Amino acid sequence: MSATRHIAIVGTGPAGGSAAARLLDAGWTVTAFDEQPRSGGNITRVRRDAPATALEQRLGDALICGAAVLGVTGDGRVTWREGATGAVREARFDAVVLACGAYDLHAPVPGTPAPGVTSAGALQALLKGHGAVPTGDVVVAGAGPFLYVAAAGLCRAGARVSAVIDRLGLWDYARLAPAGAAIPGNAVEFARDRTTLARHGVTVLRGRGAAAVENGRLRLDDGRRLAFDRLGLTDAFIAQSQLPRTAGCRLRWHAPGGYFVAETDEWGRSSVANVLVCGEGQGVRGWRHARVSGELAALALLGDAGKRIDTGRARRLLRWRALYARFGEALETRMRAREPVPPAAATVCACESVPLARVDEAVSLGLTDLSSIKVVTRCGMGPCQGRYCEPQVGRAIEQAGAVPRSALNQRTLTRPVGAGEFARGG
Amino acid sequence: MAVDCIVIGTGIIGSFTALALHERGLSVAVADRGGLAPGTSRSSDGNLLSSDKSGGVMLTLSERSLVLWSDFAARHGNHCEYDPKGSTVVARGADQAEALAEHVAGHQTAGVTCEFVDAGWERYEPHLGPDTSAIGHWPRDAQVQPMLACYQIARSLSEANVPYRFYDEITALEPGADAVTVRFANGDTWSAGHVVLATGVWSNELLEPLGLSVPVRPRKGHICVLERGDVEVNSKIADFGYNATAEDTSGDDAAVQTAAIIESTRSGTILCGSSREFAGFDRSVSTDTLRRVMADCIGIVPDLARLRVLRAYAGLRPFSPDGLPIIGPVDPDGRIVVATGHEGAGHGLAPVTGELVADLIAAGVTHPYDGALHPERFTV
Repeated sequence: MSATRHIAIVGTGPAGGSAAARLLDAGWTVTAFDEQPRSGGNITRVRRDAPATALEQRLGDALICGAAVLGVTGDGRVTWREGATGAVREARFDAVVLACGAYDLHAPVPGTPAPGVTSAGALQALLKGHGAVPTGDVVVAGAGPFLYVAAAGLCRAGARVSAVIDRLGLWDYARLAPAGAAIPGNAVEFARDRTTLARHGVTVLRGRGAAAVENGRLRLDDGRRLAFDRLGLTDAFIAQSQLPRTAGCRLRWHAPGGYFVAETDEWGRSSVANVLVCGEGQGVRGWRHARVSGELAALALLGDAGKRIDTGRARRLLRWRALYARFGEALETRMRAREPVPPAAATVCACESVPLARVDEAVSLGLTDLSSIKVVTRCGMGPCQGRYCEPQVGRAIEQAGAVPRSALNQRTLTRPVGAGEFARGG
Repeated sequence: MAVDCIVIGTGIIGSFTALALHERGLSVAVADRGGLAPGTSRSSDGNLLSSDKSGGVMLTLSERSLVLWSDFAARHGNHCEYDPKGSTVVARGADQAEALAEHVAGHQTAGVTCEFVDAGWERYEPHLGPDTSAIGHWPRDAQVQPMLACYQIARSLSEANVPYRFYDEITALEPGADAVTVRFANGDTWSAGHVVLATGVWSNELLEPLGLSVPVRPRKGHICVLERGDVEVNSKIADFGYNATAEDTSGDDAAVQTAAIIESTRSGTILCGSSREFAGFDRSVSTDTLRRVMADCIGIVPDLARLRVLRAYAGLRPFSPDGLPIIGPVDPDGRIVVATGHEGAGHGLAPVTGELVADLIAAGVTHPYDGALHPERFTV
């Protein structure tokens, strides 16, 4: 029972990184995949030209960067597309840890999609991964503390951020304070980013939100109009759940955040044996939770294989995890409470240009599962495979007084692959 | 609630059956344990083909159904991407060309509009591979987006106050003296003079508790969806070998058969099939099978290699042992009518199936096509 095992870890952010480190400590073999050119994920992403991190040195050739993992099966097979060649490869592991993080999206604000408008997370990713500093006036709008993190990061890199518009008001933050205060470091980071914004003369409007993008300007819900060259909009964070879907993991609708999430126990075990989901994949709760849950997933694998684990440490990790989860859900609940209800003409699926009205029509027939709505509206049939529209469709179902029943199926191919390369195989 | 007829299943067969019964003036109610068409209709392409039928009853049904599809789009509005774009069957090598010529001649004799083309096929399909030796062309074959057809019918019947009930598992069919009671998981019941089981490969789940069954088996198929691109696919393109796999009734348990069939959709994506295998009710996709499917399609249309595969899925065709659908009453009183066993031809044969079931229930025509489709043919 205590033989070493070969574990695949998908994602090398705080969750995947801590899982990898813990498994390597125990003498197990790890192969880690990351879609980006370098490891680290969205939070601790390293620039292309930075020296190798400690984890990168430990993993060596067992770190496969630039690889899009296309699917995972319940029996431990991982299929991925190589970054350099586009070739599709496959290998089998004893277990798979999915640490794929989260992504941000914005409410279907009328006038979007529009030139110069992306998610705030996309602006941050371009900056961190490629050192790309947006030019001209940057406006960051949406809801929640991430806006300040993203805007402060852009300021420090030399971008001209003119305004941060936060749907959450002081009252919302007051409500969050008790849960947030329990997490050391949280308030410190928040204060530091606020200081950065003040020093760069960034206008901060709280309790205000984006109402529309019109003629290249942002109209706020109080009627104010702001000019921008780049607009970063983030209203919500969504847990990545594509790979758990390919593995056949059971998902549930997570109402506080408004998305489907893989069901796991507190250690990260999913409904499928030997497939674990950690980090933001358990629900969006920030990097501290990610780091703790990654280590817990590693401990679960070790413990399940009969290795002795430090139960005292595990207990402490579980306590921290619960604390972070509570704050994460409290924040999600506040953010969702401030989300505007989009007008019927708003585009919910940008890939296929589907207006909300068409989704409402399907819901009014009594359809409340995502796959049925997909096949009659095309929401989820485009290249993003529903990553962006599924949460919006879920919201439309909730608006009609129902609970979204079941998530979109994703059986394989989380990313497009060249047909020729695919047919040839790896 | 009591109605004349309850249709169970909202796939393409259930949808057209409900529509046909409603149009005969019967009161109809429709139930599905999932959402809209959650089974085979959702995991398929949209073939309405005569080109792949070798002859006999299937060709007769197919030709009738093509007319009914065209009528449907004309009478109800075309909200289902119905497109009589024709189909092209591709032969490679001299032997296949000869066999295809014979196949076309047979169809022409049976009165089907089609032609054999052994030169200049670029006018139909400009991207066929260099080893193409001849094509057959069926100009009246068509394509549809089946889910939109189910949706169109559901919306139109809902507006006419036909109840649609989704997501409620049916736990039992209870045949009585003058009605069948349908019991739902939450205890609700509906009753009707007739119940139509349009539940495809899952038909036996409700029949077996009554000591009844139909010999339908799930035959799995895979489809790859390619992104929009610059490869023009005008008609349905099928490898001549496709006909043989579609009509194969050997029921071989071990093999995965593949044969290329390619269609472009209204939205610009291209669907690539097909595979056939018996793998129980498992709907998971196999990368190996998808690769074979893709390689087959690239063999027929090499330029597909430069597009990207967006997604893939698998579905279960209702396979019937003799290759013919199973349509007719299964219980002694003739109150429970099945409509299944269409294998890969369900979309094509849906309107004619609706017509046959409505004939049976509304007019008492009990043995359509001399019993060739009657479930009794399997009970010796």
